[in-house]
Amino acid sequence: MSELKTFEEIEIGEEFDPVEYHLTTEMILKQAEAVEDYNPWYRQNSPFGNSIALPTVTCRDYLPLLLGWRYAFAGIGILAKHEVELLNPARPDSRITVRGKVADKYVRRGRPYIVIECCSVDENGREITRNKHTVMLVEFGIAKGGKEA
Amino acid sequence: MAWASKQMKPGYDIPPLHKGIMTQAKMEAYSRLEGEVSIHTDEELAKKVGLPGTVAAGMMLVDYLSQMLTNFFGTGWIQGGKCAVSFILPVRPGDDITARGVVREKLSEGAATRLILDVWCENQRGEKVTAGTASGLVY
Repeated sequence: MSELKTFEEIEIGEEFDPVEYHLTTEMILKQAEAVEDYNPWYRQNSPFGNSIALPTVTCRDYLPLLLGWRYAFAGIGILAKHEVELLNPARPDSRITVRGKVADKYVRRGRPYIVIECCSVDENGREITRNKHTVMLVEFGIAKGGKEA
Repeated sequence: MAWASKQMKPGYDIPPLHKGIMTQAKMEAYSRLEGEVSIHTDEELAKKVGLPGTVAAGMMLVDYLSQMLTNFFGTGWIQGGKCAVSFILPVRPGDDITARGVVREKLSEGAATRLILDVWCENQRGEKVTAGTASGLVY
């Protein structure tokens, strides 16, 4: 716990260690089941050829980035805003690499927020999504840094 | 499959998507994708940060909107879609969620038309729990 960062120590532009994972058919179908989305494109052929993943499958990729970041363990993040650009469909059995950085931080109504930008790319270098997540940090009690919004 | 057409005018209500009653089981199924003990699954943890109890993951609502927008735009959402939303109110077990959208504007983008929509998810009281804008391409 002694290595936890404070909000003040977070630097805008600070990059996370990249994360790689194997996007499996099972992961895609679990997401489809969890949101009760029975579109056949995720199970059979799609207009893109073979089956594809739900377009939002990489929208949670900021979470593994945070898990590898020391600050993530100092409190709880509550998602306040989300932006996404869907660039290409992800395919089952692809290798996804996620890169991201702290795009901004600020304090609003006494609450600290960080903005995380990340991009998910497949093994062919095709960008799948670009995401921006604004996360409100709770329980830090040290919200002195950043700019007042 | 897709409904969207270049002829659609601002003010057009796109087909809504009624997702039904949110349950703790649904929230837990979604949270398993994220693999963490969280405010979506742990009542005590949720209360500790000032919430009334467990709440649905914000990204679950993004998935609902995306499902509605896939139905509406088809491939023009999956490749070329954009969405920006804020999470306004917590969604709790028992809430009845419907995703909705209305065409606000259309822009030329190469050979395609980009339809820009106001989108939101609302609960059984008609309160917007998530709201923002989304757009997709129509060819």
